[in-house]
Amino acid sequence: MLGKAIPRKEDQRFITGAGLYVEDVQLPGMLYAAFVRSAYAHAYIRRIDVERARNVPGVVAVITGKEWPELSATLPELNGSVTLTSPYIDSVKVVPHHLFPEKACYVGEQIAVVIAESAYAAADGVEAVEVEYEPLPAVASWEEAIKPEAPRIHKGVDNTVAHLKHEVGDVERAFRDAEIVLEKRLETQSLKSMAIECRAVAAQWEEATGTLNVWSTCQFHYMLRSAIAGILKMPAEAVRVMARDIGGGFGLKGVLHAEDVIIPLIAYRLKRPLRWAETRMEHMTASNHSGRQVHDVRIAARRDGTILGMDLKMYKEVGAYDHFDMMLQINTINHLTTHYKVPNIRVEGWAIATNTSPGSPYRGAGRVEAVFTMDRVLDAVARATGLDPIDVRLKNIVTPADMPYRNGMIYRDGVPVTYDAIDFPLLLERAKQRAEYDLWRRRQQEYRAAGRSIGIGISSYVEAGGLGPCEGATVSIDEAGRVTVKVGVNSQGQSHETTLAQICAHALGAPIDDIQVLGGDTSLMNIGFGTGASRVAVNAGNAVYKAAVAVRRKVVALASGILGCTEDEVEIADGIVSVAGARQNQTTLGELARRALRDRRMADLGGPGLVATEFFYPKTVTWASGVNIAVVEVDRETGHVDILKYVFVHDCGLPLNPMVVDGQIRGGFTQGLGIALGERVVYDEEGQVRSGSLMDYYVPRAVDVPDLELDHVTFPTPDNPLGIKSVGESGPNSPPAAIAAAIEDALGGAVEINTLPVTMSAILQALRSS
Amino acid sequence: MKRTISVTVNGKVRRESVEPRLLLVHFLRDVLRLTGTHVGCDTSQCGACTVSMNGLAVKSCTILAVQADGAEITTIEGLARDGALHPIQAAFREHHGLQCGFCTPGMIMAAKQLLERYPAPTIEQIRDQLDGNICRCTGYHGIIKAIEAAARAMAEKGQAPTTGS
Repeated sequence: MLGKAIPRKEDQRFITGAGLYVEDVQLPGMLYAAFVRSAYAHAYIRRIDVERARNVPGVVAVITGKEWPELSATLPELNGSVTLTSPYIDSVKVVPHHLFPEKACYVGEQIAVVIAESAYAAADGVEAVEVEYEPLPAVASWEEAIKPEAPRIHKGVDNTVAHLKHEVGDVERAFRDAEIVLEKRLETQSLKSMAIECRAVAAQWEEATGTLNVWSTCQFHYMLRSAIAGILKMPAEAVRVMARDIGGGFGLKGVLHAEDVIIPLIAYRLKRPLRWAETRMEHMTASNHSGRQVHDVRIAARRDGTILGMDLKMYKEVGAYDHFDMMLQINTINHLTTHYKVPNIRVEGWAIATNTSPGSPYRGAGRVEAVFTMDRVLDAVARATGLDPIDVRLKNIVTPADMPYRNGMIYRDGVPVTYDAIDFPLLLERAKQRAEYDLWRRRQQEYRAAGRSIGIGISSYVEAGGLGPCEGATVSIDEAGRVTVKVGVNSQGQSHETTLAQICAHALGAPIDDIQVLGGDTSLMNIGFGTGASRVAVNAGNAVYKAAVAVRRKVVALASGILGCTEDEVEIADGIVSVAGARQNQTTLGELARRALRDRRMADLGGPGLVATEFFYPKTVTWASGVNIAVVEVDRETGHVDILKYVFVHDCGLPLNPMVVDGQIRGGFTQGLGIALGERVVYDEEGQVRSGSLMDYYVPRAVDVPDLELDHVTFPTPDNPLGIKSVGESGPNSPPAAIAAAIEDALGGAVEINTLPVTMSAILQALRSS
Repeated sequence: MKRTISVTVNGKVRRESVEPRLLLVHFLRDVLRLTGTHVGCDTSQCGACTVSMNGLAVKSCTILAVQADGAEITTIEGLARDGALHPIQAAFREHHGLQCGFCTPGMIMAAKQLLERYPAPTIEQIRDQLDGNICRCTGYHGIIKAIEAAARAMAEKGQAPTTGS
């Protein structure tokens, strides 16, 4: 069952319209919320006039933050999964992030909430609220924000809110020894995760049980529970967060936003169910974005293509509130060298506040920036030396003989980055073969003679995943033999209900159809973390495995007593428990579960019933990797890029379900394609959002996505019982670098591509200025 | 102020009194509680709200409920018959045409229209016809495979796609 491409168990409800997303939650007496949001990127809120709004038909209340003491609360300063153990950071200044600020620090920041009998009436109420602002000068880019005379986003706090540095080897010496020194400025844009479901939250105070029920689109539901319980001074158990059917996450929903907390607080006070669903426009303006990142990189190399050293300065826009300290830049650093040896590296990074909504991870989370930098560096060395880009890569590649290989970086969990049991040259060779690299190099010349511009781009990535601390799982068998798996993680489409069931079926010997997986509800597991950082398969997957093995042990012990055989003779298959070789002597998982309720033998097996809870703690992250090769044709008249061939070779350890792995890669690739060719959050100088809708922000459509040639290579990891690695954030990392390189190559070296996205107009502009 | 409309939704006549400004998608979701039809944007880009109205795929966020007075509407909830999935629904499951499932109802309703227009579509026709529907999870690969497979399944059954409900 493990490793089989079976259809998904969760699909039935989604294809019939029976899924229950947060906006589908309807409760008797429900009220609806809509937010009044700042029109300015930086302004004191001098007065909020709610009188007219209160008289709008259907409006029940207008909340401005003064009504109850808990509304003066702040969001937790740092998100749960940040980098407290990273040795790189030497300063972080966190600024209190109020639920209802006295000063708006970005366009779309929440100022007041209208509560009404319908969502339409709430929107009417918002229109009727009058806000008096005292506008202040705003800064919307790091370049402006670091100027000495720049306005401060937070009074008395420097706009540079965090700093890091790290050095491996002797960079000065590398540059002294260099035969070639290259310098580049690389720029990647701020992005929106752009799940098709926007954010939403619903809440209901349940008087009978003293429980505050919260339905949320949050990826980390336990973090939300802690925040709400903390502010309301309730036991964590009295807050139940349900985050089950979620319409895509990709990082943006892995953050606590003010609304996630405000709505439950108001529902608790009003004692009425309350729901808020974000509009796309609110999403584009007020929800988090990934933050623009600029790299100034210097490279020391030899004329034979050997890279001696790299000196990197990183500037990152983190928005008005930096809830992730420098996590994204740390990810960039720890994924920076990808498959290659850079013996001497120095990095220095600055997190710079701007008058925009806060920054947070988007799928890839700093890896796209890392890969774009490393591959652009390798290609620059190829150009400077006249070597083929493949040869430059082979010159610097980490080989199996170098394993275990340490590149000198320290991961976010404090453990040194170590590659082991990976064959990077094999991945490159496979990609080269699949792409028919030599053939396309020849064709490139022929086509060029015919006036056609063909280019080839190569990119390599690594993906650390399976970040701890841990996840748990409870596996239980009921008296009918049905198996329930409970986990502390939730799904935004990752197929957990299927893959985790496959693990359980494999470990327990139960039929897959009899296994249900439940997650995304804090009442299921007392402690859990959530879904992000490509961590579920490794953490929750291995926890399910361990719990299923523990239940199996109980089954075997009980069955050997009942069937009168040794434990070694007990066999379990398809829910039938039998004695090896003796076919007539058998029972079922359900029958054993029934007997396990009252059988005294269970006293020595952990108590009644066939149930076990186990946690899995990874030693550190796992390293997935891959190589992409793109062949593109650029239309010099229009700037249009046609992808003629795209090869994606990758390893993610043993696949739990190859169909699901394929889906993760293809979906991630498409997000990378968007980053390559058009996605970009745009602010003007005043901090107004110019990418305020899906008319203005590019998202790939079906017609834009090329056929992908996928090649799965498997290097199992010895670091967990299942031999699995992560795959969720593999897809988007390389497409921007590979496609940018291919476009540069197609243009015959006339221009350098150092900025993403490479839009049609950017290509035309580059061609004109060359 | 309110107006009474009569709309046949998934074969059932529904008479309701609605505000003239009520969007069809909110009529379906909030009044009829058919929440399978989703809202993913506010500018008619994403297609998550696609339903069939008088046999044509429409974005129900771009039509007022009062404009649907007298119309026949099929939503995702009305596609399966007697517990049997429509071939398009079955093909989406078989070919991993969905991950989070949020765009899926609109995507399936758009696919239904597509197959009515092109019973044996080429891949190019499929890609082209899906221009009004955004999926952020799948990269469209499984969706395209599913629509190709559904076309084959419907042809084998001799079930020429028909319009309306």
